[in-house]
Amino acid sequence: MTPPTIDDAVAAFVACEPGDADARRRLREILWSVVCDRSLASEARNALADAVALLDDPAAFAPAAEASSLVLLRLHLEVAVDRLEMAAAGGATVNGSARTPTDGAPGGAAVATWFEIPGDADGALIGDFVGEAHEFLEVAEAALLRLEGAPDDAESVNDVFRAFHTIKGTSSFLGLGAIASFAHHAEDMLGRVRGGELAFTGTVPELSLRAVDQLKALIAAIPAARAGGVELSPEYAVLIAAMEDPLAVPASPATPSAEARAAAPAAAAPAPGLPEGTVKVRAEKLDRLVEMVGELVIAHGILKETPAVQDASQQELTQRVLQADKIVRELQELALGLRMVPLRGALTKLTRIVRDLAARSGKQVVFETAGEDTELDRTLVDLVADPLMHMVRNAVDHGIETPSERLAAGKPAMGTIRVEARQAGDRVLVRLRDDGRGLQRSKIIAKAIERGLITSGEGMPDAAVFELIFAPGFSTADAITDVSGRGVGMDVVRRNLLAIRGRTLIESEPGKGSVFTIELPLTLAITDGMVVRVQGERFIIPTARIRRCVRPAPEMLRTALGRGELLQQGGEVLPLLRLQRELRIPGPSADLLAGILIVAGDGHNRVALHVDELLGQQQVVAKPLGESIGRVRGLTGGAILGDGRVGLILDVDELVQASRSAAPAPPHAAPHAA
Amino acid sequence: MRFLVVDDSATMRRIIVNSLARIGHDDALEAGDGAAALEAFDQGGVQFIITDWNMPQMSGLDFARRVRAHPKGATVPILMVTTRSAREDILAAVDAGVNNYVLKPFTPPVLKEKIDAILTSAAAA
Repeated sequence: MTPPTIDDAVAAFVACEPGDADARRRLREILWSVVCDRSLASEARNALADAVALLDDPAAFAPAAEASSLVLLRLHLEVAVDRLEMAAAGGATVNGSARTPTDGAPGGAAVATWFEIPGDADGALIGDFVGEAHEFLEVAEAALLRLEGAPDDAESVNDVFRAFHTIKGTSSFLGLGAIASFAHHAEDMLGRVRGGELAFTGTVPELSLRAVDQLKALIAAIPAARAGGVELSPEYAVLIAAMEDPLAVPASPATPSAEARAAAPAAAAPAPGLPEGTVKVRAEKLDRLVEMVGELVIAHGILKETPAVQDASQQELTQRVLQADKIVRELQELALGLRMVPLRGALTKLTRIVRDLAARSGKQVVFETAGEDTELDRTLVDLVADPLMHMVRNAVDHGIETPSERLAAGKPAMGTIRVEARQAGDRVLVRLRDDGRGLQRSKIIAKAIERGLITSGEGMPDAAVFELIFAPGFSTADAITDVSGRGVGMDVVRRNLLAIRGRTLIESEPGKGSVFTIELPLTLAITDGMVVRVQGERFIIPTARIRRCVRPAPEMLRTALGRGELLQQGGEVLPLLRLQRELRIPGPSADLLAGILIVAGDGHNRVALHVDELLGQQQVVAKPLGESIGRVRGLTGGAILGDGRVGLILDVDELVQASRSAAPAPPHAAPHAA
Repeated sequence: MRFLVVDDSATMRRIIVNSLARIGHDDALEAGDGAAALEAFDQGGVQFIITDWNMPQMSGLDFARRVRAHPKGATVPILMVTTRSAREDILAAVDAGVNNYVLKPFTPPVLKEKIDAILTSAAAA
């Protein structure tokens, strides 16, 4: 019996039907075994560990949470598979190849003497790496200094270990073989210290400091290594040999670490990744700042609404508050601007994915990017990377045809995929265009029928057919065998985007290609919301999700058997949801005609929400509901309203879903019946 | 099969030992901290270790590492009892040489499942 692999895990995941706790336990044990393989790329292990943690969480598989947990699980697996593939495509395995030349033949094996970076190495990623590596080395250095006073401080040993470990892992992905191999030796030594096998005494502290300095020098040499290569200093080989067997090296008080360190910075030069005048700030501090500024905006909003300030006789006070208001707004813009980073990194990563996928599927693809300088809130860039990856994969796998198919269709053999990003108002658009075969209406319909999503595609507009791609369960199961569909479908793409108030749009023309658009808010920190009243409670509906508001008239309202109430207006029929009922707010059932209907959602996922009153629009700082409350169906979070009270933010998408479960007919059937 | 149960809480040790008895394992030593446990392990005869994660002085992770560094401790199965399961915990446990872990609270059948899983994979290796 061989130890289980990631493929076994994927197979076990497919066997996980909702409610099957036994299957989940089997999957959990398989994943655990895979995590135990320490030779796997660390990113993959991270994702696998996330999956194990999720499976260990009993709350995650309570009936109400199970569906979303399974999706999340799928995502973790997908990421793990992906990282493993990337590690494999990168040539060397992370641990294996670096270890081989030195194991068993200390000093005698080939230690590199030349540092050169392949021409196709990814410059943007290397730039990121340089910045990150410097951070880690700073941490390591501080920890080493602490260890001089307290050699038993496990936490500090951990810090040093982690620095070497991370640098090893990342650099091995980037073609920085000399750095990866060196960091690997340093990590090994610290690993032995961490494991209690080696004491942090004798030559070990000094070797560690010299290793940090050597890594700094290596990182400083990256530009030269890219430009044609550099000779490695003798110190490189000396340290590698010494770190392999620190006990064999006599402790040398003659070369105190202080001297080595004083000399090193001159050679290492200033951090190459950072332009002059740049200050590095911890991300959490920045987040905290943005959060506090958000609070300030709200607190100031409350102040502005105070009766004394609005009192016409208090002109001086009013004016001063208005002055402060201007400053607060500017501060808000500045603070949000601080967290903006360009999309470049996310886009460049795709280049590699396209190349690998195209090579594997025998397709020829040119990949173009534009608008890499478009900026987005830091917290969003990571979130957009995954959906983009999915879409690019889909474009290569399903969009672009094989060269012979393309030639037969009168197109150039080489397909084109273009990703462009641009800002439009307070949204960012990322558009992915391919010149492939386009979405095939008949195939989608056939598959959707097979999956039980619809009963017939007759009369469905193209847009509604394309929407089916995003339906849960559309692209799973048998797609598990092909390259792009490893269990995570477009429904996950959409769900992740919806979670950050993003949207997806599809346009496609048969034979000409498809355009997928991802639309994102610039930032998550502040939302424009419509404040509504339902009985005594107040709720916030994100303005971006509201299509229109309707004062209901008797002729607009219908009740369909088994489908609940409907709003019929302008040739369109939408499910109608009474928020009071949906959110279980006590009180007498309100008269529909006395309230307001808010039509919210996108495309075919729309719903008419009945509220008692509109109270006005307001900017709010959205906050999660907190762990004690957890996820509540229909709500995404809370915010402090102008008068200091808390309002809950409605989750439009979940409400749309809720309106569908109230109406068991296929989703598109109702809106187009009229 | 002789078990060694390591936990600073006497109650928790009792719970584990009782659970073991319920699933047919009635030979268990107890230790209240890592040092005592190492001593007990050193005496020989221990075939399976169940240890708490969060203990004063020597954490379960440190204990596991010490066991692994022990001349007789390279392959003895170690099952960690813990309340937390997050990415870092899992990776730390693996790195310390833990064979598997079980989340509190657990039932005797779950404990049995974990033990059997470890023994099966150990037999296969």
